[in-house]
Amino acid sequence: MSKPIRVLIAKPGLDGHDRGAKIIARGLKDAGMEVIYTGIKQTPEKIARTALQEDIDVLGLSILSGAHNYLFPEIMRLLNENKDKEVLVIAGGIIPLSDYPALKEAGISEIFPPGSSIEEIASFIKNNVHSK
Amino acid sequence: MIDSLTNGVKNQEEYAIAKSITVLEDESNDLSVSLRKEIYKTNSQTYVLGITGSPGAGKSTLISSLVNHLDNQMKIGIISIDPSNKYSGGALLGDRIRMSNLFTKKNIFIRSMSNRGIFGGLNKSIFDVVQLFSFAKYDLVIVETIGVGQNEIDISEIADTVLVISAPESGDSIQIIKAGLMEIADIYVINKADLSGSDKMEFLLKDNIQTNTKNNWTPRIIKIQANSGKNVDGLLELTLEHKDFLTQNNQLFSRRKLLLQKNIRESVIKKVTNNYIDPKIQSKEFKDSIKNVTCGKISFDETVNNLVHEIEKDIKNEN
Repeated sequence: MSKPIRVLIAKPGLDGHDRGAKIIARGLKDAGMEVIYTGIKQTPEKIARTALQEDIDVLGLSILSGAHNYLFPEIMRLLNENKDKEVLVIAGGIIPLSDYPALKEAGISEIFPPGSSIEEIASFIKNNVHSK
Repeated sequence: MIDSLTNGVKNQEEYAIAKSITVLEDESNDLSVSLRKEIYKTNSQTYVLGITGSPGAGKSTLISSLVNHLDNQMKIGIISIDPSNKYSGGALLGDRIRMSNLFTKKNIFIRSMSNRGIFGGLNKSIFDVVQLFSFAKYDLVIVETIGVGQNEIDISEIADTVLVISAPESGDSIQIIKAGLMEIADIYVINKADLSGSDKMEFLLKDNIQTNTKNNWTPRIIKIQANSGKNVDGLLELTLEHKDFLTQNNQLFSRRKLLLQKNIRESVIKKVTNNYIDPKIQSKEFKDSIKNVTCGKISFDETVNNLVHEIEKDIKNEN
């Protein structure tokens, strides 16, 4: 049996609603992945440290508050400080289309807006996760 | 590759420890054999504190609270195990939610693991992971079991001190006695002590506490509130008392020797099964001969004995 893909689902910033994140976490679990969920109000430092210790393959960021343009690049900066690590980073939540190009430039591989299916997200992960 | 990894672990570099756990968990990884060989080349052993109890009793919250009472110079590894899904093989690992205040503490390393389908409340590579922290010269390892309640007793084989935690609201004192958790507790923790029913629970547990005949330790009972930290310092004192007791009686790490023995036994069984037993059982010749058992030409016991003789011969011939 091959090693399960390890995913961290994290909610940076101050929004308090995490139903979307929980549904994604559960869906990816059902797709055979080991999903770590850390709850709401995570700082970029907490997310990067957790990513390092848990040796994750994928980071899924969920955000509804509108602070993505500040928080995502900061998380990417800290993630890149982690040695010897290639993590696939994806995002979801309330993110205006006009913000996509800059976020992708910062290293977010794909953004899944409301209405995206679990199947779509799971197959994106399986096709794009870095083989280690 | 292996040298950079083991040197990294020796220097307590987190990327190396994280990567090593991934390797140890994955038997198909070529590095796992050589890494295992390296990490057992050490005399240092880290004290292991095991925490078990039913879901929602407060295991993760207690860990968070305990660690906040400890010296922040201590290097502490926390391993939290959650169940994997039998069908998909996936898992939702949520123990970190209650430990959020520890995420950025420099001296704390937290790793979430799924049990990867193994019964007994632990992941089968847990022994190697504990050894990894010993190799890295960590001061303390805390292991949190999955918490399904009735098959958690493996923790008593790896931990030097076992805390069994429960809450009065669950009304599960009888469940705990049934589940065999009473027998493995070195310290019995009643959490959420502010709730009604905690006195009654303490009374019932006191009636059922027995001195461990193997080492003469009488399990202690303590009431705490993990979320507010109330009486957690008292629990810490009891834990140290148990550790001192083990040290004075030369019993520290003794459970781990037994577990090592058990693990070696299991690995031998697996190898003998794969190399000798299964090829015989699955051979066409044997399958054809089974009808002789069903029609009474040869008895079940004779069949078993014949097979054992054949396997013994095979092993002898190979040498």
